[in-house]
This record gives sequence, structure tokens and C-alpha cells, in this order.
Amino acid sequence: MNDFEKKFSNLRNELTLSSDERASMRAYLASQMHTPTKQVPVASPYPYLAFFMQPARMIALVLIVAVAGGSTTTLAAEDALPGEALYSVKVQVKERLESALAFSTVKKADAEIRHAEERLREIQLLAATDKNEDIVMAVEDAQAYLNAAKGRINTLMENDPALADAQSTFAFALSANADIIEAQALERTDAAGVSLTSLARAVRGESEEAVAENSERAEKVIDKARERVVSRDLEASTRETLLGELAHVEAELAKAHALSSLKGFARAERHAYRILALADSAERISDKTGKQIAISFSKAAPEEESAPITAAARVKEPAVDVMATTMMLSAPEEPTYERDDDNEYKDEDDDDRKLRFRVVEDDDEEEDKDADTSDSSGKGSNRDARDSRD
Amino acid sequence: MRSTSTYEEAYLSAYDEHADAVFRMCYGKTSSREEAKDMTQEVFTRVWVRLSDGKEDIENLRAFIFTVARNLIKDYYKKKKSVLETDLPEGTFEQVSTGARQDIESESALVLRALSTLDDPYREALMLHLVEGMPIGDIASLLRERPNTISVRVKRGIEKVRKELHLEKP
Repeated sequence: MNDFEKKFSNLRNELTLSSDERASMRAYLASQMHTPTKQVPVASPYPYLAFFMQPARMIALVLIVAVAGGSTTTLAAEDALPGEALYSVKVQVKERLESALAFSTVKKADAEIRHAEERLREIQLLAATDKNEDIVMAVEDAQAYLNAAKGRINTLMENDPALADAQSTFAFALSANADIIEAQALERTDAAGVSLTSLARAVRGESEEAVAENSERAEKVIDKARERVVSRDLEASTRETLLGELAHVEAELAKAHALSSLKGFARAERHAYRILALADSAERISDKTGKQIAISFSKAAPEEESAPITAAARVKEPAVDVMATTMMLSAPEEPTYERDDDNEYKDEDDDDRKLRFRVVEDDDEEEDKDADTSDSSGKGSNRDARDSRD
Repeated sequence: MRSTSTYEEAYLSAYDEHADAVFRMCYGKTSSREEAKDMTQEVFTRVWVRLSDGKEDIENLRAFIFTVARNLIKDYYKKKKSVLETDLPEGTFEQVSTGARQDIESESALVLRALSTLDDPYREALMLHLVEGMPIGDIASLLRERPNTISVRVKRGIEKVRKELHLEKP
């Protein structure tokens, strides 16, 4: 425990009721248990204002003033963001007025959807700023608001089953906006980013359990892949490369953990599986053909740090003349994230760490050549392989 | 339906267990021993009123006690504000005293003063975690928040207290 935390834990012992105080309060409470108390309201010396001191009445007062005095204030409040002065006018007055004036259940549901969407749009606007504290607070408020709104929609629907449409519109509209928020969150690495992803997740109904499950699964696969790489009969250099790749996957996992991102976990899991498969295949091929396998990952040139890392696996086979087969294991269909040197994710459909698997004759010169080709690009490797033979 | 005496027992043992924690939370807000005492008593009175109405389940007693305490602490702020605004005659509301108790050692007094400058959500998260020693997960389920939110609040609370106390980051 550090010094700073100690200051706090000291409070626990220093700041207590004295035993007298505790005992007399206990006696008082025990005596109250059998005499139900009614609170006597205290009359205020300002009876007119006092009437409006309750939140609901205050809102009514502001409402009356707003309607009577024209709606300039409410119009000005339209664009207010959490933390700004007019924001409460917007939520408490303008939106409540809209809900109150929506007389049919359909219109009421409509208003709910619009307001809920507005909450998420506000977050998106805030997320475009660097007011981190406001973001964290606003996310909390928005979450509470959305939960309540969901409840209201459900109640509306119970009364009017025809509103099933509204319910799904609500879900779709929100998850679309949540996607935008998550994309924004992935651009940041601070606490606000964590807050934003958790909002997006909650809106889409992805539970903590789903995240826990996914992270657990990814971890398990990574462990399995490591065990496989270590236990398989591989050439030392192959093993080293695969372990290097595994370290990279672990970095992906760490990032996913930091943001509790389902997508991040899925990607780490997929990449770990690839290592696992690679270890299996390498051993199998060398078993069957009696030849050694060498897998090399060649990194892209430094100025293109974000370019795919290419893996080329070769069967060393001195005797046979031409035996070049190259497979491109292309990127999976779903969009994936590529880590760049800023430690952020980018959506890269095409350039997801491509794996190159080659079977060519063992020759030092060729190896260099191959390294070059894989540096320049991961594509068109079929022809490359053949070239190197001829 | 449980018998009345089961309720009474559960209530009084909950008092024994949580009175100090509630007292500390109130103190964190008010910086006044007397007021914190009054508030603690009020918290437990309200808890009993609800309990005896049969509106609350004793299974959730701890969570309920803390909820009542939080609400009262929130109200305290409103009351204090309206006292300032309308300048009510003395004695209308409970006395607003500000001096911290002498018998609390000066360093703790400083920590307390720094705590009282925090916003409610940050202070309560910080106090539950660091003073009461509750794990983040427990606090989250107690306050019905996500663990993420709580750890963010604790972190930010610590930052602010550090700043308030002019402490460097370790």
C-alpha cells in the first residue's frame, strides 16, 4: 500500500462514531422503531416561491414562461451539449414539452426515439472535443437516460402491441449511433475512450459476459497456440518467428482489454488460430516430405510500418528442380483492424496481416530474393515463386 | 413474510455494521462531525421507515442503506444551496457548520477537506474504495454501475485529490 492510499485507510480508524455516540444513536433508533414518525413540513417564509421549489413545479414554471414568452430560449437550447447552461432547458423543457404534446402512443414512441438518438449524437459531438471529463460524465448520464427510455418504450409497447416497429427502430437507430461512437473511441487511448466503448457496448446490448467470454476465448487460443508452437517439432527459426508473431497477437489482446472491445478480442483470437494452424501445418509438411520447413516473417520497410507482415514458409529441398507452390491466405471477409505505429486501430479490409506460405528449393540467394519480394508486397506471390525457380 | 423481530434484528445489526461507514461518507460531504452524526441518524431512520412499510427487502439492506445515504447527501447540497440563496432565518434548517474537528489528525483533516471538494460520484467511489477498502466490483454492484465506470471515478478522484493536496504523481 503506498503512502497516498495509507492516508485514506487511516481515515477508517480515525473517523468513527465514538462508542457513546454509537450507543446513544442506536438507542434512539431502537426507540423510534415502535413509534412511526411523520415528518412535519417546515413552512417557508417565501410561500410563493416555495411553491415552485420542487423540481416538477419549477419545470412547469419555466414551461409557462417559455410558452408565454415565445420559444426563443428553447430554440437556442436546441444545440446545447451536456455541461452547457442551456442543456437542462433542452432536456427538461423542450424534450418534455415534445413528449407531453405527443398525444398518440405512436407519436410518443417517436419522440422517445428522437430524444434517445439525440443523447447519442450529443456524445458523438462531445467525443469530437477533448473535454474528457465532460465525456465521462455525459456518458454516464446518457446511459441512465437510455435505460429509462428503453423502459418507457417497453411500457408503451405493452399498452399498444402495434408499436413493435417502434421498438426495433429504437434498437437500430441506437446501435447505428453506437457504432459511430465506438469508431470514435478507437481513435483515443484515454479513459474517455474506455467510457465511450462501454456505452457503445451497452447500447448494442453486448453484455459484460460476452466481453469476458470473448477475452477468455482469445486468451485460451493464444495459450494453445503457444503450447503448440513449443511442442511441435519445428526448426528453431520457425519457432522463433511464430513466437514473435504470438507476441504481436498478445499486444493486440492487451489493446482489446484496454478498451474491452469485442472486435479486438475477435481479431486476436483469429490471429492466434492462424499461428496454431501454421505450427500444425509446418510440422505435418516436414513430416510427410521429410524436409525442414522454414517460416520467415518479413516486416515491411520502416516508412510503411502499417503494411502487412508477410510470412513465407519454405520447404528446403535441394534436389528437386522446380517445386514452387505459393498460397495466399487472404484476409478474412469481415473488416479487421490493423495496428499502426501510433498504437491505434484502423479499418483495413485488404491489408490485414497477410500470410504467405511458400514451398521452394533451399538456396541462400533465393532466400534473399524472397525476402525482397515479400517486403515490397504480399501480392502476386504465385509468379514470384515461379520466377525464383526459373 | 418474515416476523417483525427478524426485521428489527437485521436492521440493528446492519446499523452496527454500517453506521461508521455511513458516518464517514456524510462527514466526507459536510466536514462537520455534528452534521454527519445527524445525517447518519436520519439515514437509518429513513431506512427503518421503508423497512417497516415492507417496501424493502432485507436481502438488499446494505445496498439500500447506501442508496439512502447517497440521496441524503445529494439533498444536503440542495438544502445548503437554497439556504444560501434565500437566506432563511436561523434554525429553519439544521445549522451549517464548517469547521473540521480538532481531534482528527491534521493530515487526515487535509485528506478530508480535499475529499469534500470532489463531486458526489467521485467522492463516494473514492471513499468506498480507499477508506472502506471495498473492491471495485463490489462498489459497482452496490451502486448499480459498471465496474469500468467505478474505476474511472476512483482514478479521477485520486487525481483530483492529489492536485488538491499538491502531491506529485509517484
